[in-house]
Amino acid sequence: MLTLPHLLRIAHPAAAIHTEIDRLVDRWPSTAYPPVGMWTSTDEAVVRAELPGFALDQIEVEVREHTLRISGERTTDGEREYLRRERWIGRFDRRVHLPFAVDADAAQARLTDGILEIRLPRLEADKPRKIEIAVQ
Amino acid sequence: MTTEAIQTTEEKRPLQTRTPRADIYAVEAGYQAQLELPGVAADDLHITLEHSALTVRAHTRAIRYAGSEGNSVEALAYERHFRLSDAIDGTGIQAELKDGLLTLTLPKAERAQPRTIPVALN
Repeated sequence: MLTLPHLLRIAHPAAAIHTEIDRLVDRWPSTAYPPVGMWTSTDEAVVRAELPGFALDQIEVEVREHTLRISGERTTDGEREYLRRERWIGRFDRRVHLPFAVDADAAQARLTDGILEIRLPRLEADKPRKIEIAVQ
Repeated sequence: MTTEAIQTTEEKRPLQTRTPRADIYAVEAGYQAQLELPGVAADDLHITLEHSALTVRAHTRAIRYAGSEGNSVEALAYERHFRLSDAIDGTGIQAELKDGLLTLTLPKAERAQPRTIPVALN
């Protein structure tokens, strides 16, 4: 059951249920943070991670072979008197398996409105090639 | 911003509504609530206070990456409701959106001090 702070209460019953579901999801292993989505085309992979409230210097992005690693930490003021605490606190380390080899040097990462977007161009040597077969 | 990312400008009904995660904690002036709204720009955030009901509504926009058909990332709506007690001064609420994190500052209402009401005698 939700512990409702004495000053701010969840007014909407549906919102309370959603919050409870979110809290259950929160108990999954720490590798599930942050939420990540990936899109691929023949030329690149785009990975988006939700990291609201994070600054770029709090996030590390590393590419090794077919694995993209996003890690970092959010610390908080330990003295704070919380009435409700749902946001992620502590270290996170998420690995995303990439479907092809990428050119790590040409990768670009940017953080906009709490979304980390990493664009990973496919390694030229890894791209599928069309081979013309001469007909005799 | 790379040119391949096409941000769709058309307004579409968001497909999914999420409850943003929130932290609420005490500060000297009252309370602060921080709500996670990743992908939300300030123009797409609406906060209303009606009597004691504080509502935060926001949405993200769909994105289509080059080489994909249709939207790569669908638009998403965020909605969360709070009820404020008398201890909070609703007129003094301040909101700031930064890096997909909304910070609401909720100042304490000045407590009415008990006082003696003089009775005019004619």
